[in-house]
Amino acid sequence: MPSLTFYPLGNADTCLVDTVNGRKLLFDYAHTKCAEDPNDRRINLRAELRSNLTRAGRDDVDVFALSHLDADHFKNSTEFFYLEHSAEYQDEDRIKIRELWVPAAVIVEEKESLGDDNEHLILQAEARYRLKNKSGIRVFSTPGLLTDWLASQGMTVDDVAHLITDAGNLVPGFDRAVDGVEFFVHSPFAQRLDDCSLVNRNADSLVVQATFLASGRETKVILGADTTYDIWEKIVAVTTWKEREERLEWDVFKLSHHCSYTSLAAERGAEKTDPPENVRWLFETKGREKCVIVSPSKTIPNDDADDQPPHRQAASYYRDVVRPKDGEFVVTMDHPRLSQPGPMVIEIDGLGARLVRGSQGGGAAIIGGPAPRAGNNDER
Amino acid sequence: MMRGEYLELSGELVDAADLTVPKAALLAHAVGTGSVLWASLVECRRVQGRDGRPGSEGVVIDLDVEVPQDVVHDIRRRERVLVEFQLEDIRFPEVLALRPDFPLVPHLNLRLKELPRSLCLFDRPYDEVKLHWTAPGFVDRIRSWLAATATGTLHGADQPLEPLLLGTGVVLVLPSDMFAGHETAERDERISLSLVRATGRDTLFAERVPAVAGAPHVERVPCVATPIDVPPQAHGVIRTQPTTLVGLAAFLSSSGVDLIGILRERLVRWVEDPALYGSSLILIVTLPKTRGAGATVEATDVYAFACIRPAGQSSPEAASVDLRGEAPGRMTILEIGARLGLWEILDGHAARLVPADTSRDGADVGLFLMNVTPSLSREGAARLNGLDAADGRRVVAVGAGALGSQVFANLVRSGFGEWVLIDKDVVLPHNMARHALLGGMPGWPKAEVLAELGSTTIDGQPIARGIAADVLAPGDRSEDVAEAFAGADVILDMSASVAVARHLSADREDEARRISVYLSPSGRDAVLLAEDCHRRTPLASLEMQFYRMLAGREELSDHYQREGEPVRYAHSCRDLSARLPQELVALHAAIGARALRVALAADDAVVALWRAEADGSVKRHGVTPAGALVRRVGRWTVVWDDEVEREVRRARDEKLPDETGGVLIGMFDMLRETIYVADMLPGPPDSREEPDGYERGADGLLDRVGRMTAATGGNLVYVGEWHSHPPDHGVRMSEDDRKLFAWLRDRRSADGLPAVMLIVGEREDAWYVGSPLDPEGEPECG
Repeated sequence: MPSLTFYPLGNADTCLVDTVNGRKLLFDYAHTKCAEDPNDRRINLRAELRSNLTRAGRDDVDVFALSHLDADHFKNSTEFFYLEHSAEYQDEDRIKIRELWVPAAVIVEEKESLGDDNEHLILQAEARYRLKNKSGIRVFSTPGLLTDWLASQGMTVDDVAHLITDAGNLVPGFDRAVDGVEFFVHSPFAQRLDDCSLVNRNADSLVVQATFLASGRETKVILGADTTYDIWEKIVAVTTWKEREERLEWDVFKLSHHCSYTSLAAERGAEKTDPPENVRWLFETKGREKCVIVSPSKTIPNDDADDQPPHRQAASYYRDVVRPKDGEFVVTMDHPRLSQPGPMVIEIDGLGARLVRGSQGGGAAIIGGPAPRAGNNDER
Repeated sequence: MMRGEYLELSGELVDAADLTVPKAALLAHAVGTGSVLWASLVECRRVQGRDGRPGSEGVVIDLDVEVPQDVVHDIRRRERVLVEFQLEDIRFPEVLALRPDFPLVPHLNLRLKELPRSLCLFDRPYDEVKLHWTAPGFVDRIRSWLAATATGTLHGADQPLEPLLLGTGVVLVLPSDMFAGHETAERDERISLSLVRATGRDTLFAERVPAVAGAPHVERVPCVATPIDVPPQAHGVIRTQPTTLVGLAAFLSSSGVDLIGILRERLVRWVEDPALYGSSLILIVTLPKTRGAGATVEATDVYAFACIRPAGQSSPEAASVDLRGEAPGRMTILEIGARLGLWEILDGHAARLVPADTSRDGADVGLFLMNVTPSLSREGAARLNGLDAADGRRVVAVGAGALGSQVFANLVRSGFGEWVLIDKDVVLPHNMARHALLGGMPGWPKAEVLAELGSTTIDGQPIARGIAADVLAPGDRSEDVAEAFAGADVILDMSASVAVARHLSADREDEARRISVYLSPSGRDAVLLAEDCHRRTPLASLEMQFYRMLAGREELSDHYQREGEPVRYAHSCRDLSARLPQELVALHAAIGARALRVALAADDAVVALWRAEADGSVKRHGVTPAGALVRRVGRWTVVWDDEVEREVRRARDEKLPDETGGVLIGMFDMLRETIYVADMLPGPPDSREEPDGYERGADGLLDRVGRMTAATGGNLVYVGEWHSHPPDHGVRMSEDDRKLFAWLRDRRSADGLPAVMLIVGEREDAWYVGSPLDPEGEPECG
């Protein structure tokens, strides 16, 4: 059955999309768990994904989509994936990527702005290598943005036009009739300037709406990267201007930036964030009955002691969004229970999206994982 | 949700730690400590019992339910329920949905009040559920009930909806057609009832439900049941348990049924018969249900209410109601008519009021809900046996002895067949050791009493009838027997008699497929021989092929061996008046019944044997039956089959250009002048095989044939000689052949048997038979 799986990673993003015909797409990858800390409740993402792929008889994913180059979206991915550009990352047990999805910024960002983190450079090198080889990559951009970099490599936009997808289009390679899902690109998009030239980028992250089709029922999922409220306003504006409002409908919404108020409004608000009209319309009007909002974040705090997300005022707004729809607002670190979070599975079928709430009782809860050590080492 | 959005609850709030009912405490603890996923504790309550009766304790919990976006029934992602535990742990804890707009869905318990709605969670008795009851498991069951109800999948798609009632003490068994999902035929407005009373539990049977006359505890009660038919509708109209006639009338009026008017009409007719004055009245309300307006009827709910004195005079919550004689809660037709304003009671008689006093509307007629259950129909029996549908094949079964009676009992209880049983015997005490009948019927004809029991088991037209006759000499039942065979789809031989089997196979012209089921003398083996659906291979040929299998498999050579001596004497090799355990008969009756159904479901012939091993396992031995070959040879008939034909040809071809030959094994049926050839043996090693002749040797031959005869219980014997002719020599007898045949004929005449010789040529073959009556005549050829 088609499904979305989110993982308890603290304030970090990973979403596995399973299609009806067995294809697997991974949106971001952030293995954040600190192995030495026994109190770290975050999931061992590496082991969890490995076991998921093993069960499916796979050593690869169809797509790894990197929404943008922030560490909470790619942490430790260079230890997990098989990278084509260097033998250093080609151990046998690494997971292969059939197609890498990146926004153009990943290709063109200057070394200075990337900072010191080595993983940035490795991922950029991988994306550039694949684009130069014209294989196993899709870049999200207006084609013009890549002109200079391609020229520096002795290439032209025409050489790689088939590997570039602009906002407002469906991603090639996925067909709702065959795969039961299609992906519509909202971002990155070009700012329309007075002279209509397509140059300035105002955002660099990859935002898509996935539309699943099962038994005639469409279920729509928005994967919101780390988009800020002003970008959401523009996405709403350009999409309505293009009369494609259905591309903003949603049954499942993966929140931007770990339930930060900055994804809703400029101001946090005292008890509840108050978004501007466009953003309010996106959540309150376009969210459908019994929808699910997923907050890929830590537990929502009761106070404002921490400036970092998640912000309780934003959560308060989202809870008010879902209440009249008999919908749900769920936090990855709280699911299924605060003390012992685990993968959050949302199955999608002819009845729409359904947060799986199987019982965890019985022997499966015990023999589903290793038992603590038994022994006679009391003297030690 | 806010608290005020849920139904108000009675009783005092108590701490979870102060709960005294063990299961209530377990549930509150498990949910309160957060160890149960998707459930949280809201509060706990205690309700004091009234009138010295024990009270109850309730645990209120919120449940997170796995609900998809599109739902069939409006179940929410969070639901609040009250779980109510009685002090005595003898009934299911009741689970009540506390949302005021919780929908009317399938699988609710019918209560006196509509809200809160009561979830019907289990389809097993509480005593069984108790064995595995845990608080987390119970929460899981409630959550999965809610989730499945949300998607409309709580019912398996093929299961009919059953009316769900809180159990009351009296069960009413009604004809199964009252539950049918279609418009039923005209019904009598009065249904007579019988009461079976045993150890405090009353069961009422509609007269149309078959019952064995003279069964214990049965008494006719002065009771009238009358059906009230409600037009089909999409949803049930009875939302709570009505306690008065006027309350029920209010529900039915929404479907356009004028209950009081119907009753007034009927009562006026009934009161003309003073014998009915003292009868109790039971209303049987049938409510066909459709899925959506105008759709076909999917299920029919049937409710039965006994009219009693209303609450206050007799509690409607009473566990039982007595409908007999002077019982205090009972209300008679005479009283009911008076309370509906039809008459006054004067000196114990009805004095009609004209016009009727319509202000009297039945508010003072109480109702007592009974448990209604359908009698067992053919389809119901099939469904309970895990079959898709009943099988209406007309079966004439010959032999209602130990195996036959038990095979019949197995099949009839699965709704299989429309039966005629033929058996000449009456029930004698020694039969009871291994017969489907238990004691109590000595001297009754087996066929008739067994058919009667089958027909009382299955509702509707009799599923079986018996003919007490000897099928070989039916005498004055000849016409009945002939008519039964002529109308049969299947003729089932369970006679344990070769003579009967042969008669059914060879003498009768009827078109029905023949099947034979019998036991070996020891009871260790069951045998099934089934003709193919076109009857290309008759039963007698299958019998020969079965013998060939016995003779050819060392491990089956003891098929005819008996365990110890027979009790009396042996009539035939299949005689069962021997020592053999009922367990083996029951085992093989079960195997036989299933094998029979499987054989009839396919078109092919079957030859199979099941052996019960000493360790309790059962092994099947079988062969793929060969097609029968029949040749008319003068007045004689030779029956052999493709397998024998193949074997002689293979032997001939192997030895070319030499001639070869051997002997034929089989059986003579002197009664029908038929020669069955079951097998061929190649020539012994001392035979002489030459291009222009063949001399059969004898080395080891006698022993070999002897072993075959022994292994088949004396059924297979030496029948004759066969030899091959080379190409271009035809199959006419040569001079040597004539001398051989004369030699054979000479020896056979001493046995009173025909001489048989087969000559196999390049493309043809010829059978020669010399009759023992005419030793000098020309051999018959065919």
